[in-house]
Amino acid sequence: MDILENVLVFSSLAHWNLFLVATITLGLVRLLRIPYSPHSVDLGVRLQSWVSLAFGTTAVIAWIRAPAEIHRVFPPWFRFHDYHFDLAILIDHRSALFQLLFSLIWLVIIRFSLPSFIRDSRHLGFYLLLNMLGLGVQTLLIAGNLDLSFVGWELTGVASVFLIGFFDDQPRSVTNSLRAFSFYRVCDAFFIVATLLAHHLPSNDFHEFRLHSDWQMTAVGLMLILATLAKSSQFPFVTWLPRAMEGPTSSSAIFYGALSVHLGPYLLLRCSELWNHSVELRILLATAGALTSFYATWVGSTRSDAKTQLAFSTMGQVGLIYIELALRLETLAWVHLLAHASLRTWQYLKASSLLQDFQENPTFSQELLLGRTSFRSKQMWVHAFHGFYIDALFENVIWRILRNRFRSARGPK
Amino acid sequence: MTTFFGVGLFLWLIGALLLRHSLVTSRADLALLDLLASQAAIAFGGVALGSFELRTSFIFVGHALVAFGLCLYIIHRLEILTGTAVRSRVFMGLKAIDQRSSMFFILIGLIWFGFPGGFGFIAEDLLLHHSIELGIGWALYPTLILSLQALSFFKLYEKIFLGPLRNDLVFCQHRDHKPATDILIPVLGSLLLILMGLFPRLVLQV
Repeated sequence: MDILENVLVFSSLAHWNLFLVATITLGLVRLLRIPYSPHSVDLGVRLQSWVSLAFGTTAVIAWIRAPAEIHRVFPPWFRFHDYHFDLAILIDHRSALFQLLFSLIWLVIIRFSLPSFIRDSRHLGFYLLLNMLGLGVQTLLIAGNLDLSFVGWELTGVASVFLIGFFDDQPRSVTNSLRAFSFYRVCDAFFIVATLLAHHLPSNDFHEFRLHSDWQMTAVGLMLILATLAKSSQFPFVTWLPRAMEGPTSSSAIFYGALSVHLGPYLLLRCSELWNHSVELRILLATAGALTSFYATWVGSTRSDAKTQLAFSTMGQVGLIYIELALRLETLAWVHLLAHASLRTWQYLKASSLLQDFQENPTFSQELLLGRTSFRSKQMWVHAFHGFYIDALFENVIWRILRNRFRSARGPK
Repeated sequence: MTTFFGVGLFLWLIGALLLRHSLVTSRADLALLDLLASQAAIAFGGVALGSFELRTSFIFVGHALVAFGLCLYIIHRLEILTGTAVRSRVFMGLKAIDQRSSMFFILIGLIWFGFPGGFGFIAEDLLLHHSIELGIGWALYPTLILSLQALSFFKLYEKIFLGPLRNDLVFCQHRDHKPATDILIPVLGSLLLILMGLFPRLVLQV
């Protein structure tokens, strides 16, 4: 039993290290302009994807043979007076299964990206950002407390923003990446407050949350829910995900179809003891999920391009996962999360060859049209087309004020 | 006690106004200075309110000062290279002409504003650690301001380096321009900030 537990810990940590080493190596090559051959990079990332799959599979097999919840605490990263930043990991069935899902999706994404970027001079930057995402997700998967989770949370956020603005000579891509970043920063602020509050609990490790229950835990839960709502593009933070489709298709698939939007529900599942006991927080969760599902279904039906429609569908399904969480259907939410991540990856990757699919199978387009939501009135369609004016609200209240200030600051030419 | 409390609130207000000013200012070096001053106002305002510890505030402002100096160095280097003042009101697209500067600028900025692995993350974490003792509201305010400062920095980066390259820029290579050595200061500076982040005991136990 101990050997299998050690295998599980080893494979999870080795998986994390694989992405750490890859990120540092690619970062150094890019920063210091070390000469490299594009084929060696391609070979490296291909090899990495298979090694990642091996670690993911090993973790799941080890967990199946010896189902256990393993909690380990390593020496703190830093210590200052009474404060210490603990490096705690928690490996359970969820982290093991998510690791396997991650490896499978990673393998598909790399296979898809290799031909797309073979003649692109920016391919090193692309793989660097993808690996930064991988490192962030791996950190979040094995983190045993909120402190370490925040590290993963930040890494995925920053990688996501840079991938949205990947085509950085186009102002629209860059502006949309800044908008996504503004939402991420607000959710980061909530996450930081949740972490600070958790420092004042008797223990801020996930596996010890269930031992306590008081108002502070509810406050931590509230802050965490607000943070995850922004990250998963749930109500009222619904406007950034459709704008995030500016990046390369493969990065959209791995970020917004598979991993990034599901990290919120994953984190809530990991520390459900923080919010599960509070009816008010569960109502908040269900309301946000339901409003997002309705919003995404209606608004998504009025959009004409494939990736934007998929973005709205993703938001709607994640909203349903939030409702399942609020109803304490944790197993259903977990299965839904895994299935949805797999399906969306396939759909995002398939989006770029949709026209070919229509040509090969004319009935396919008819089926798609039949499956659309019908509106009872034209007025309703118009409201949905304008995204129920939520985007306009953000645009007029926040962005226009900033833009006007910039204009007035230019002064005479 | 009440005077200190009033001073703290005043400094926090100044911090927020300076953050707003960093978005309005079109000169890149002044925007960076606004950001540094905003961070200092928030840090020492927190000390006056009894929410932050004095020593952690000094650590926080000290690391911010180093990062500010490095970013300012890159801006001035770009001004020599382009022969014009670096502005943040339009896209300048300078990444196309000096990619390495853009990478070090964003790397130093990420460390400055709390990216995990760098010393900024530790400095921010230590600074905010005690803030919750006065209440959630007192913790949320500086946290939000510090988060938005990162947004302001990213906007600055976006305007200077990204987007299409401006046609009216005149590139005048400085007579003594030595690309290999010019970048040495940002390289060493960012290396120092990363090493301080990876081995913080050396700094925190002084």
